[in-house]
Amino acid sequence: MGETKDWFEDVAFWEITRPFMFAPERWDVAASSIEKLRSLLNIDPPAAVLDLCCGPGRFALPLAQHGFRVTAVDRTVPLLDELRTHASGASLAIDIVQSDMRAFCRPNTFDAAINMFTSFGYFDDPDDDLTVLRNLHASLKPGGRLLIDTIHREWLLREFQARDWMESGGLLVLDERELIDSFTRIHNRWIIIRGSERYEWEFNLRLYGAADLGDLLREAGFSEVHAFGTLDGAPCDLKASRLVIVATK
Amino acid sequence: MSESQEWFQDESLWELTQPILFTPELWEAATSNIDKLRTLLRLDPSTAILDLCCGPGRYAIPLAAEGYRVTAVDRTRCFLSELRTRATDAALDIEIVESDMRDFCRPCAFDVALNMLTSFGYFDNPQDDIKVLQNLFASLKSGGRLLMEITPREWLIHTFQARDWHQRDDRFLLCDRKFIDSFSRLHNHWILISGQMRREWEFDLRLYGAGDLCALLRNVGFSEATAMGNLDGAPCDLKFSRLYVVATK
Repeated sequence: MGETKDWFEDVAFWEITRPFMFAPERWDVAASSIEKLRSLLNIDPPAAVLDLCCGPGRFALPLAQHGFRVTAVDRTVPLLDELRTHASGASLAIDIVQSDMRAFCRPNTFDAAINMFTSFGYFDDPDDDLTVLRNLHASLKPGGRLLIDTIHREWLLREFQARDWMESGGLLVLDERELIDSFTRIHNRWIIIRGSERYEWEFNLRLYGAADLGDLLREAGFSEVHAFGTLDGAPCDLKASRLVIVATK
Repeated sequence: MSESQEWFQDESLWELTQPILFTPELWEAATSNIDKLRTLLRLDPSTAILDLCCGPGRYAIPLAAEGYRVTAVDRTRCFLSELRTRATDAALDIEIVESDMRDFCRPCAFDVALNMLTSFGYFDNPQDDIKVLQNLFASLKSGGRLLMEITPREWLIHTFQARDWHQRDDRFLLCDRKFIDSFSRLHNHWILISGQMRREWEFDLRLYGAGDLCALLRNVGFSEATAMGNLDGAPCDLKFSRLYVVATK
């Protein structure tokens, strides 16, 4: 971890972007994905599931509702506070842990692990990404499966748009992107307009395609790596904006 | 002309978006294009030039500064008053006329006519576009040259992006587009944000490609019409975001 603050450590980023990042439609999509996750991860309740980078619990909550034993890990306190509120409101027992994904490791504990919604590739040092995968591998029981859902680099290259914008949750979000470091990373600039307020953040994400993320998973010890374009198991082709990769310990 | 106000008659659209639409770079590009116009349109010191839909005078000002006799026509008052101020400041003698392009016609008065920066295709009735071309044809002397610059339909279809945005200081212009009428027109939704202010406009532009614009020009009487991807005379291809057509009376 660097001495200076990384972009994702700025809690204000998560608080201010919260209304569109975790808009109601995205909760609905997550809630309706549980059966698909079950099938891809080959799990039944009461299997123990790790949700690494759980955010406010879009997946952790419905998984717990389905009877899974969920451990939800994130480093962002206000997102965990929201998850805690939702969980107690619904009387769901979720193990909520505040931790950086580079640090969280609980050997041979989980039947499955998920890392959703592009919560991967955040670090300047690529070895940190490998550390995360090694932690996930160690935390799974033998035969346990990991599912990562992230932005699909090949689709991004094919469909690249330097600028886009959206209006959601009372915010205007203006996004500007640039492919950097020989197309291995994307530099993002977000301008958030809320009434007369303006916020601006810049951050980089490491990009992955099916082959290189597969290689990295195998390097971390996983086998049986399968890449898809959706949670329905559609092929990971140029139409796939997501890379859904499933690997087995 | 219809009874109700047409979208381009809303002066606030042009006043509020002008700082974003007419960037310093766009002014500089026009000035640096004068030499290319000289070659392409065979300008000589006696050439009388009509700039139809002149805006604030991106071309009219540098052409007048080079000594050409310029008649600058637009229907938008805020543009004409900026042009008047610039012309006075530079002690340039430009004839400035407020007129709708469907009305302006001065038979056999000009050696060269310009219609730049997608100032064509504004009207719901396609006959109005033809009327504009008939006016331009009539206003040219025999052997006179017309140069039009539009966004080509082929490039728009090839590289279509529904959304993008532009910023100048604290002013943002958010654009959202879709093809309508079997790809013959582009529906635009613009949102302007500045401080607390938010303004929105919706308008349609008729789209032309190289083939149909050249055919239309021949139909109204032009003897030759040549399409180019830039002012250096490059052939049109899908890389060019601009379409230039030169037609001779």
